Amino acid sequence: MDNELINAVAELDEEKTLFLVKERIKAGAKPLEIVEDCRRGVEIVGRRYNDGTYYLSDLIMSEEILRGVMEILKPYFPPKNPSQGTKIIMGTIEGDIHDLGKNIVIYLLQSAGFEVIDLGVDVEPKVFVENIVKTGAKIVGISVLLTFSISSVKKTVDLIKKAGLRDKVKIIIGGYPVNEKILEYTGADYFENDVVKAVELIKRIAEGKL
Amino acid sequence: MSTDKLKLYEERKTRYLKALDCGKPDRVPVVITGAEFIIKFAGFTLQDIYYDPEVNYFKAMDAFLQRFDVDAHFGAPMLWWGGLHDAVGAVYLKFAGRELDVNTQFQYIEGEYMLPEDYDAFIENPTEWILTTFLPRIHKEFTEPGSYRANIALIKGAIARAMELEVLAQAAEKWAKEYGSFTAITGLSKAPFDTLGDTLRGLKGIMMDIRRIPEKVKAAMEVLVPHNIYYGLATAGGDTEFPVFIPLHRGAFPFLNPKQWDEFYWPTLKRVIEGLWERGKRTLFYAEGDWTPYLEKIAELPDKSIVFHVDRTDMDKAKKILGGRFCLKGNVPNSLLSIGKPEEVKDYVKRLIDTYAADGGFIVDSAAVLQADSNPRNVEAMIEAVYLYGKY
Repeated sequence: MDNELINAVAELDEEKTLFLVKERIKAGAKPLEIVEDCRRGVEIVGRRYNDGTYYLSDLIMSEEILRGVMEILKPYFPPKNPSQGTKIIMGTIEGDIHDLGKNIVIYLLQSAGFEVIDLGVDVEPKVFVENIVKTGAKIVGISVLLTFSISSVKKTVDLIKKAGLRDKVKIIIGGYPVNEKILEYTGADYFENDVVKAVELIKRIAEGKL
Repeated sequence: MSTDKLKLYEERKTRYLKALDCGKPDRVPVVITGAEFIIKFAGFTLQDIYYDPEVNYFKAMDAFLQRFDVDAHFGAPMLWWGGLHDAVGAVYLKFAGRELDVNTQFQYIEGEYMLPEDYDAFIENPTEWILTTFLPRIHKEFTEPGSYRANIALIKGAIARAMELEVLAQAAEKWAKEYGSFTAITGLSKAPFDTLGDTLRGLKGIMMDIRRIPEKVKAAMEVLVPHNIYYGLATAGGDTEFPVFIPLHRGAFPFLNPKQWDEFYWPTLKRVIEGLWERGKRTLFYAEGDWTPYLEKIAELPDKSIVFHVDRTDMDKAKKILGGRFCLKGNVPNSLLSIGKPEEVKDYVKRLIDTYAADGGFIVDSAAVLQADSNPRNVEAMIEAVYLYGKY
């Protein structure tokens, strides 16, 4: 039965997933157990994306399926994300409003149990700093698509340095144009273009392996 | 036109057209897709460009063409005239100097402006649906179609568009006469999947639809095939000498899985390109992003029917699979043009030419549309390298 739900999510079968969730609620299953199975399904989706079986359209679909599941489950449990104690700040840099990659990373991180503070799009450098201070987050993800906005990423890193926070946070830049050269230019710690790899990178950082 | 400018114009045109036709001109042509780079270089704000066609089409382009000796360019830096969109109260766009800071790029507010339940009406009569449902949703001034206010807005919008096209025509004449220069493209069209997936349903909407209501998506795209062929020809004013610009969006890797790409993206795009080609119109296949997994399919197109623009597509594979049958164009990385050194740019262009241009059918261009951060010295280095190493 458990495997059936995991598989339905992994196979991106929306109708079957929602049906199974309703069935299990009726049968008295705990909402958290259902979420856990969905999470395992999403994990398979992520792996399949990683090995090239699934594409972005599939990730977007899994996000939508999970949203439907949460809607069914909402009335049954107080919405509290199981947190691994690692807070992550994410935002698209100022001047840029592209958020597809950022949103998928956030969704995958939340599925993996992280607490993510989403600052949205067109985020000013000082807002990143203010939120590091406010939340005590140890990881900051900055998303950038337009090369035009890369200078603002550098500005953000410099501002974090100036605030004396540079050694307290790991900064990851992500998005279409980032590469070694841009990492060096901005002074961030890591870069990643691939959403699933970005999540793995963040997990390794959170586990203290990096 | 003065004789030397006329001669320059003819030389450049012959060179460009020969390369498009997979031939070997006297030298590899170099094209620049200027956009925001031109604005910054010419010393204007984005607000100037969005709101003053005189600056967009004349002043900025003068500064650009005086400095950069390109064979062809992509026309005025900006496609959008803020005044036109304000006249009709566009709610899906934000412009510098109005909603945004004077130097912030225009923004498109992504949304589901067409809903899943609109498919039937769209398929039945797209023009009627657009006029009565879609336009009112995305323009404040059309909120009540048929009202006095909406009618005035239609007239205002149409006049503004005609004014803009008139300025464009005058500008094109000036670019030719004073700089011996021309626009690399005439007309614009889209892949039917993008028409549906960009402004109408939005990215998320279309990705849901291909799973939930695939037959409707197909029927809607079917309606769009003749429209997009017609649109490409009409916006080119019937010109068939230069290629029509088709910026490709949702078909880039890794948006759609190969099965979805084969089933949804490719068949109707292929028919649009073939339909244009049957009418003598070549397509600039502006493949932003990475299209490597789809090259074999793209190779199904009739010889020379497209110019394949390489952004992040694997150039080796593009050359191997498409080379000889289609002109290739690209792919000097934008990050190199913004934060690299002129010498690095030159080395890159030299390698590009040495490796891929030997048998003709090759055009040097930036990988993607140039942003404001591109360094003018690097852009110059790109052009110099072509003059230096690109002679056949």
